[in-house]
Amino acid sequence: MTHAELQGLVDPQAGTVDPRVYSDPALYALELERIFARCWLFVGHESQLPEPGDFVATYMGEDPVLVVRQKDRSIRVFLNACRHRGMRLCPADRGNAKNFSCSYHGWAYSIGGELMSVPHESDGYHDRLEKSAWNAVGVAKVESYKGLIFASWDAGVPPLVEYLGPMAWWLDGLVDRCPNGAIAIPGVSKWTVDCNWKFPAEQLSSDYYHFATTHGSAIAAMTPPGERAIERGFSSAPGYQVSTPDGHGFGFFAYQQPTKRVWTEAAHFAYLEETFAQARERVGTTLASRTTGHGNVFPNLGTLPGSNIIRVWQPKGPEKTEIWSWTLVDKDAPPEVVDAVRIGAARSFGPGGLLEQDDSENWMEIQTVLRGHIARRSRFNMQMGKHSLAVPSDDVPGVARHVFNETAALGMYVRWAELLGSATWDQAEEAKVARAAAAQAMVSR
Amino acid sequence: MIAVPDAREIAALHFEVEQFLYHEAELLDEGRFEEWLRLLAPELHYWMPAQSNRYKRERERSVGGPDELPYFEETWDHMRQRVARLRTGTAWAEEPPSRTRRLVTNLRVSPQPEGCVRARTNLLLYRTRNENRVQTFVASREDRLRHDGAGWLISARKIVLDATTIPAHNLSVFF
Repeated sequence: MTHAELQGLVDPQAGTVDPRVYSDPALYALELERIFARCWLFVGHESQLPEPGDFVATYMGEDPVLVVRQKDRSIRVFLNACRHRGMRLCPADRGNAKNFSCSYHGWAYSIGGELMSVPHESDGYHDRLEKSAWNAVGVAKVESYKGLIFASWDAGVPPLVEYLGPMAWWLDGLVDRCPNGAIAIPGVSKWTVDCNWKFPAEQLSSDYYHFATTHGSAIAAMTPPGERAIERGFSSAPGYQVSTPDGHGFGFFAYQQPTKRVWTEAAHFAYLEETFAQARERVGTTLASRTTGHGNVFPNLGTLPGSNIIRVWQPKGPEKTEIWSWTLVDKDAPPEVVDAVRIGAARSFGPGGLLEQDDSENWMEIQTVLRGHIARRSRFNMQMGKHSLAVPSDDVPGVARHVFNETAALGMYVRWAELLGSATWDQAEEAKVARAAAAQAMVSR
Repeated sequence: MIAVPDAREIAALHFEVEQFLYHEAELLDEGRFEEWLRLLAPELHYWMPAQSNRYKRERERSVGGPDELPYFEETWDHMRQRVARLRTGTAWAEEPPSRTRRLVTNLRVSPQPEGCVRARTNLLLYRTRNENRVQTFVASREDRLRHDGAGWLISARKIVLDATTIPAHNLSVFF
């Protein structure tokens, strides 16, 4: 695909997207190289790794990695593959290790990924194997944002906080409500959806619109008899949708104090009210009140702050995604609140969650339709909010627009196309700067 | 002190529990969810912990404990909400409904104090939906049943799927 064809896939002026972005194997291969082997990707939470040798296994794109706590408390991330024949070094999902020994020929690595020993080093390699040249393949950068660990394979990637931009503010409502921050509740929910990873990424970037139609049944069923669900009165609060130049997006309704939603467990809500004053001091009224909303850190870290959920859309081919979902909770929260958050997250937005189960049905059926030739060449409409103006807000960073808006979806695809079309980070940054200048010129004209 | 039942009593209990679980599976396979709710005790604890791949020395921690993120940890009222959702006509995950077939096997019954029984089974839940979507769930179940005079009730159910990554897009069926 030529550069022009690539850019033609996304048309922000017309507000359309070519459905091949979800189905084309060549585009998927390019994504693995230019997005997943390049952007900051979420790989775990520091609380999952309290002791040296503690590890979790995850993926960066389709590359399996180990995330390991070191003796000096630092965290290393490296490819979960032996340098000899590429066998997976560690078959466990999590645990504690003293070393990682390959089960094929026995090459053994330290918890930092250094090659320590190989069988038959004397009689096989005649003591001439330069072991230090054959360490496990490490990522270029690892950084944490208030406990959230991110890694990147590209040394040219901007510092994490710069990359996150306004998303750092958005994440603060999850990880900075109390002085000791947040922890990840032990365990990960993992499930498989036969759809392109960008359907869920786009939805969490940009889509409050689907809520009433897709989730109406859950709202009706979860509303206590005789009560009126607040969800029916969504438009009474100001709602915001933010698209950032780096392809992130988030949307929510902003209140002045915590408001109970159908998915907010009673003990969790009582805790939000009790801790409101303290949280407001730390993160401001808007975030301290937040019990609803959706956000996506480009490319594949979704957030559902109302249920304290963060999740990764693990790409598994153009037509398959695994969803890996964690639940965060304030480190200072008492046990009954931790329990309410833990169970509430599964009840609302786990794979069996009353709300979540309907989303995947949509994404899979779209993907099935897109097997058709005519379907693939019929562009999608992303025009909602095209004519909307920025809604000023003292609290919300970035350019906020009305909540029913697809500018964050378009923004995600515009950035996606820029990255696919750029051989280096510098080129991608230049494209971003040029885009901002063009937008400014349009406004002045 | 539990009275030691003789072999005929054990066989009769086994048969009774087996028929109860078959009846339950039939109600679910036929979408008779309101009738199914009547088999669940008011104090129900319906729990599906997650499972993870662990090194051999940590194998006993493969199945998630009570402090870990579950797939389900529900009360009777939450099951009622789930059934109510399915009846709205807009519960898209089950609209049109999946066809399900539950094979409940390998029953092991052990009497417990206060007339309760522990019933362990293997479950194969075969789900077909839309044009050609097929998903198979394989699980072990451990139920605590109690008799209320009229019949057996499920007061606790623990379900452990064999899969560590759920091979399906959702868990919109009952286990």
